[in-house]
Amino acid sequence: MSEQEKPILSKVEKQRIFENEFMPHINSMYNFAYRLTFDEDDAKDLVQDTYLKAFRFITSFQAGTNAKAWLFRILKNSFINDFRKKSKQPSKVDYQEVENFYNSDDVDEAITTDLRVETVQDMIGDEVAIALNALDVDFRTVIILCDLEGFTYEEMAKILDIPIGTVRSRLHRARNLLKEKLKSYAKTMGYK
Amino acid sequence: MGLHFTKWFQWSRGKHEKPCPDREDCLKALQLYIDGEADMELEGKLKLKLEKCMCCIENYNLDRSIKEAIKTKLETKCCPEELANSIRIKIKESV
Repeated sequence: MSEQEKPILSKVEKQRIFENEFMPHINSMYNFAYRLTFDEDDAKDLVQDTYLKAFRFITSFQAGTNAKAWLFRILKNSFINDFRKKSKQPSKVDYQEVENFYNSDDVDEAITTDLRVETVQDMIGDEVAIALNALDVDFRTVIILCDLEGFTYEEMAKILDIPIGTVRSRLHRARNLLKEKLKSYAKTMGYK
Repeated sequence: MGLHFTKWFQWSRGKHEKPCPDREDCLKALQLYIDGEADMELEGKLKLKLEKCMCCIENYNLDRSIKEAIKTKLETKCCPEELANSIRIKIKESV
């Protein structure tokens, strides 16, 4: 949206949009922030930072469009640009390295699994969370956005600022990795 | 009926049939289908495939169960009320 296209909003209108369109998503936002940071205080900081930014740039938001996706995009950018840099525990994995590896032709061939449906059904939430949390943050993110939050691929492409084809391939690879994690976790826990 | 029963019996005993020759492509397509992102043409092809390929049926059921587990089993962290209130106060102060 260009500067000329941005609407001029009164204080009351800004507060109405903030309360009616942004605040209803605060639980999903906090849940997403927590699943990215694994820390309640960090999640609070990230959510607060996101909402303050959202208000500051409220004229860039087109009323009636997908506020949740817009907010998730801001949160994701805040996480990458601000939080990850100053985090006490920076990402241990170079994502580009991971993506290059998982973009190689033979990786899909290499990943096979004999994980059983019954095993997944028998697992409790904490066990599924351990497997999900073991994934690199960029793979974890696509699974959270798709399976937990129910975003479409098109919405995910906008949130993550990547082409829809990359959403598809990253999601596929994330799920292959998750299956491997679930399988090895199930093995250590003695699931059949 | 007989063929389906044999397939089911082998599957239930863990004696899976040989892997689907298009396994990787089918897996990718099945995930689109499960996510509601497959177009009608792909959906039609997959429905036919799921009627005859045990390997694809297993993959479909597994992927669906994992998606379901993530949706229903993970604990949802709710935003603390004081955080929501503090954000509202900061916004009011800023206008």
